[in-house]
Amino acid sequence: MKILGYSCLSSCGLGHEVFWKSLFEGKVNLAPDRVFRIEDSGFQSSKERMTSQLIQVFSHIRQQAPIESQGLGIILSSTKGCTEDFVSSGAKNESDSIYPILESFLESTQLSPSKLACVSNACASSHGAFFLAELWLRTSQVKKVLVLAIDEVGPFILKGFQSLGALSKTSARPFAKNRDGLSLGEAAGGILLSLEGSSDFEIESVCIETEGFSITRPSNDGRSLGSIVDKVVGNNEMSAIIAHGTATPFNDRTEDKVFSSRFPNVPITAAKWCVGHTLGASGLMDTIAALGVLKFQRIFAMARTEEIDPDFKAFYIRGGSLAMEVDRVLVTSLGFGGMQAALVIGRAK
Amino acid sequence: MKLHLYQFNYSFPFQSDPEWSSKVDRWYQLDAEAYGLTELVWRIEEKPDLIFLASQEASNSSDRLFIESEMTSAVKFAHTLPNVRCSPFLQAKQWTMPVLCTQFGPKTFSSAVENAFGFLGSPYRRILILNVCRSLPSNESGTSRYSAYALQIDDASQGGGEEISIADLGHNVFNGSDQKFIENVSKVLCKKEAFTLIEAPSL
Repeated sequence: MKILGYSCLSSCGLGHEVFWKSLFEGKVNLAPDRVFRIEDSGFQSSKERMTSQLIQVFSHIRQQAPIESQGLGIILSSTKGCTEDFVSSGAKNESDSIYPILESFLESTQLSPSKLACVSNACASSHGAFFLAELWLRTSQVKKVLVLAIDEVGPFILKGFQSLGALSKTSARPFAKNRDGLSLGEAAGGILLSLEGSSDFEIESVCIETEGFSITRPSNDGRSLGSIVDKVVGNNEMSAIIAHGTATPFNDRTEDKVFSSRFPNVPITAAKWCVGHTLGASGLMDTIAALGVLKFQRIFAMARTEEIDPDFKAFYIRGGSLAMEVDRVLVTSLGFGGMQAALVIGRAK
Repeated sequence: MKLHLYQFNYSFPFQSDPEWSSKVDRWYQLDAEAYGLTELVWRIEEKPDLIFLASQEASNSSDRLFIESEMTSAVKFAHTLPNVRCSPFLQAKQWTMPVLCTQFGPKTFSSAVENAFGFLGSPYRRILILNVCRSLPSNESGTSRYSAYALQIDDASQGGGEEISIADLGHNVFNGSDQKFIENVSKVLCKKEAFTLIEAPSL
């Protein structure tokens, strides 16, 4: 799938360029409550706020490529949508909390696409949306797909992760010896995809799988993640890997098992130290991070990771960024419910 | 194309250990929706190639339980993602496969079915679309009644049974709400002996 346009909004600001700048310069913008927040205010509701964020992203993408309703599909991926609205109002919601944001987005943009969907595959939602986009395109149901992703961090999400004991006391340090959990982040992002058109980069393959192992963690040996990584990689050589890298003990260990056995010399990094774990948007943010790696032919480091866990055997990048020839980047994602996902992004042929 | 609709009506909380309890991690912590889907999928023999998990109310009831715990219960929070309901039935069946948890307001289930129709063929020969909803609110003993649905779609080369076209399901079948869609489809499939109703006893 050719990538025709993309953008994001995060704690780094609006646009992929400011996100890339933060990644390569090792900058973090953590709020006092240790959440990577999008700085905006004055909204009546989460739905209104999230719609506004998606429109900013959409406007940025439309400057890069035309987006018209005919032959267009839109997929919105999110874990919890505007659930916080129901928490704060106490209202009983009769329907899901993601579709109202999509409806509001369509009303604001006056778009009337041929196909619409919302995907909620936990923290692997963006990969799930890419997977669905590819099915729509390959079965000729649409000509272009705009994949949007969004999540916010309100009391529901924050207290939920606190209850799990999954949050870092400082900020996330993926694959570090002293990692102590994840940092949450807010983000909105979008990528416009098509099988046709002119583009520098493309998603070569995407795969999702759900394993019946545990609700909250991947299988210890990483067999399912390994299986889909093998499927998306095929016989190709990977130049770099952007790991899910939540900085939680289980996830990082599983990823290390999978990567060290398959790619012992491929440089690995992660982006969640920079923008936090942006939940349903994290796969899309990592894909935009991979576009930066391809564009600059340089892999960014995990700036907050000082010492790699001595039990880990794969090749992790910390300290400073590394110039290298980059043809293909593997981007992995994991989510509650046994979700495993991977995609390969490379130069368009 | 061949279709078969399974409907499982049940009460929750459940009163006895399920048959699959030894296969599912912390089965006793499952919410009503996860329990019902696991009971239903446990009874389906054929492994699909792709699953859509598509319930209009998503994880709303589990969200409310977490809020009622003053947002302190890790166990309840773990069930507030609508996709996690696939984990218990995949554990019970020991399946690993692509699952898409989709939402589309009042047309969540019918929209997933429409998508599945479009993807049938190579490489997906058999697709399962799942839905679960509360059919009756709590009674005096705190028990609610639920219905879980599984629509199995096979391409023509799979198994026995009569071939069915989208036209057989009626004009504008995808235009109404999920409730209307399920009513229409169950009527058509009942006539074609492609509907299985499983009633767990009311408590």
